[in-house]
Amino acid sequence: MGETIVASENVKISVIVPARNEARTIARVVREARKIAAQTEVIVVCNGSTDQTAALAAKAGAKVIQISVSLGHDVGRAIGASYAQGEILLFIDGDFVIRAHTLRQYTNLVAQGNDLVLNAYPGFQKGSRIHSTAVAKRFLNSVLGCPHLEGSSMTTVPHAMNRKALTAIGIQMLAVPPKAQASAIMQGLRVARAVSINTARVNRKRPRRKERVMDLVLGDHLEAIGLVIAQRGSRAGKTDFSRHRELLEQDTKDHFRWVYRMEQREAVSVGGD
Amino acid sequence: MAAKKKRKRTMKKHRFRQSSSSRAKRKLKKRLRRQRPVRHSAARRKKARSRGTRKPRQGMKSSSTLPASILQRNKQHLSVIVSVYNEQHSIGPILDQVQLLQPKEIIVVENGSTDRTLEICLSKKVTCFSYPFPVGHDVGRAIGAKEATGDVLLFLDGDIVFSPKQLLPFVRACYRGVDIALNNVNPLYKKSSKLDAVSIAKLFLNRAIGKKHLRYASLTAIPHAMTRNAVEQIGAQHLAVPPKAQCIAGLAGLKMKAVHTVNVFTTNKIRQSNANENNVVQDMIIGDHVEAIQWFQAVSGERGTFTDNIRNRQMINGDLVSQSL
Repeated sequence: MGETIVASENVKISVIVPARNEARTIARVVREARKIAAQTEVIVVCNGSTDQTAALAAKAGAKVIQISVSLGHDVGRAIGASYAQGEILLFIDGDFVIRAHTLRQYTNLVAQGNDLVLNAYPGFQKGSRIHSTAVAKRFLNSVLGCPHLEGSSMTTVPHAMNRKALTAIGIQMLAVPPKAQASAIMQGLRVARAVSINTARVNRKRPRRKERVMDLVLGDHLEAIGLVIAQRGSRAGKTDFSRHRELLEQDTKDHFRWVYRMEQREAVSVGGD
Repeated sequence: MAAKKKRKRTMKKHRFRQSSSSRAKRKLKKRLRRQRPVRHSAARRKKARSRGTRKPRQGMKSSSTLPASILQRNKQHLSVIVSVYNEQHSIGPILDQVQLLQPKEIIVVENGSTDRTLEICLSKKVTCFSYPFPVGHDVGRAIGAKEATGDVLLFLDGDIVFSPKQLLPFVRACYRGVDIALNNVNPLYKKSSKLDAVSIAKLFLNRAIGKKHLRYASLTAIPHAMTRNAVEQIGAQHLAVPPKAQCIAGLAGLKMKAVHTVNVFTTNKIRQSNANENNVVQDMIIGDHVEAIQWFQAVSGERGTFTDNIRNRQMINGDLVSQSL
């Protein structure tokens, strides 16, 4: 395992690109990312690749971190982030090219004072159908009290953050994106949405993985809700709207109430409590 | 040639008449699948208008048209539970309609009403438990369930009037082996882009507990019915937090089914005057779902049944840099 570092001084923006066998697109992805600003470092976390991904990325001008084993989802982001030196971190994927001017909207929003900037894409929905992952994303946002974020999620790329957000969230947390998002929102970071990029359309299709990716995303959201519960209590800080729960624990005979039986129409007052 | 054609036409007509109900059903199914209204050609619409002499089937209003066998069963087994708080305008008609089901008992949990609600309840043939204060959302259901003596429990609220014909399918399903019969609200959802937070929460919870097919069907919505066995397995006190009850039922392997569609959206619609209160209720229902998920996670783990073995978690534990190189 080696590490190829292309010299980059005074970096301001770090673009993190996890990649596994993306020789087809990686060079173009890196070239576009480098165009974002004068001082941009592109970190390609090349994991478990059996093709020319690492070489092509290095040739296009990226720092390449090579890892022989496959990292799986989102772990590459955390590892890439640990190498990043920029003030602004932008996370993208290696399998589809996004134009520099589009990516710039994300980094600009961070530069303007937002801590975390998400893709505004709300998740797949058409007609009466809505994808389960989109449901999970929306539910998490409404639990967090941010319904205006709709289905925006750190699960989806691109997203950008500043160093303050990275420190607050913690690098390891990035490996489970919904959890990172929950943590960011609960810590009161400023979260904004940038342009909508439909990742469902541009993502490389890997049909065999579909079910497992769905499980991964849904499980991640359950974990995130677990984090919210741990910090905000069993109802995530939501109102119980004056439910008299103590009544449920007592025997109903001990309740303070009037009972009017169907048969004998006479009021029986039962004292209790 | 002409004769042949004519014969064919009459045959067609005949066939149509014979299987019109099943055909209509199939058509409806197809329509629901496509989720958009069918717009017939202008000619066909005109024809339909001119055919206007045929009357639509009337809803069965009197109990005499309800199947006697089920009514007989209701007399011995059915408890209807109505939780009510300041509903003097709707409670009378509700109880009158429910009476047509000829249940063993009607249990009204009246709580905190300051209007004529109690008075109206007492003028009907019901067992009434009257609390001097509002017990809170859904708590009345739990109290009613504890008091019920029937084998099938039908739950209603005090604000919407249903005809017996609308309610019977829920009871019937419970007689036929369903443990929990839910309102099948799914066909009413037409546009996923307009989903509200509560619907999303219902969808997510059902997906998480492995009851994907239920989709939006939830114990939060009325009407629903359940067997005594289901109440005992869930625990009557948990009915006060409906999503939690649903979660418990799902994991206990109780048979839940969305049996019949009753539109509770148009009747229960959000009015501007109480929009703020609706927001609070929405918050409460989302809290209920979070509570349900907490219970779920305590039983089946933080991730439920959803593994992430396509993610190499060891790589992020401990010191990132030294491990990754």
